[in-house]
Amino acid sequence: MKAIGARLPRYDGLGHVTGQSVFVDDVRLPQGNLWAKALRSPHDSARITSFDTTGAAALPGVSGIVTHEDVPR
Amino acid sequence: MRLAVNGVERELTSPPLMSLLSVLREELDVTSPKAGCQGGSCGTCTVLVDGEPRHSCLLPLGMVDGAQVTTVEGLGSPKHLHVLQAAFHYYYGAQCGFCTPGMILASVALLDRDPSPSRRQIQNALAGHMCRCTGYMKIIDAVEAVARGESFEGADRTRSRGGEATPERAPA
Repeated sequence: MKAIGARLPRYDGLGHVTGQSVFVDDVRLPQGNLWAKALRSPHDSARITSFDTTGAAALPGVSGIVTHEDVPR
Repeated sequence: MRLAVNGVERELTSPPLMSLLSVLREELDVTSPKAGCQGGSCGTCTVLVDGEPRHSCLLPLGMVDGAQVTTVEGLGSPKHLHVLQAAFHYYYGAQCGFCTPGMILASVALLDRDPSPSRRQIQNALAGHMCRCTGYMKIIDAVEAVARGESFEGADRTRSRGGEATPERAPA
């Protein structure tokens, strides 16, 4: 209850006035990060009966392929 | 190209047409000036160039070759704040903090020109700076507090991290 009526400093105030607060555009991602691209179905309302990622995995520059099988259960 | 940024001489590899804002944020990792409107309207990109507040988003590097640039990083650090930084913190002049660096630097330049501005003069000096959070009153209160000489523990008027003071002005 001591907080009620008390004059409390903002937890982020010092960062804001000294320029140390980090906003999203201030974040520098490390060089060499991987890029992800989603492969979308070219067929609407279709049912996927099977898929084969071996060809895609063999392409140069492909580090990995993520499918529904990688989703933790 | 070279700049003195917060008192430190820097040799730059950025091309002369790159904006000072991009040079500071990308080449030098000085991220307190923000890319807001990127068109000179919002004030978040404001830095002091030879003591004057400038829109760094509209300044090509080639036009400020050799200049002294001051950002809020050069005014003080959490353990040793400039008095304006302390006032903004104490009077809740910063909420999200995005406008804060520009507001503080414009206030520094104002108080360098006129140590005792009226509230109206403070408003005029900050007219180029937009704030979506505070409603401006607390920001003006903070500047007014410094203008009337209020002191804050651990803060002073020095630019403790190399932010340059306004050079002597030639008489008008």
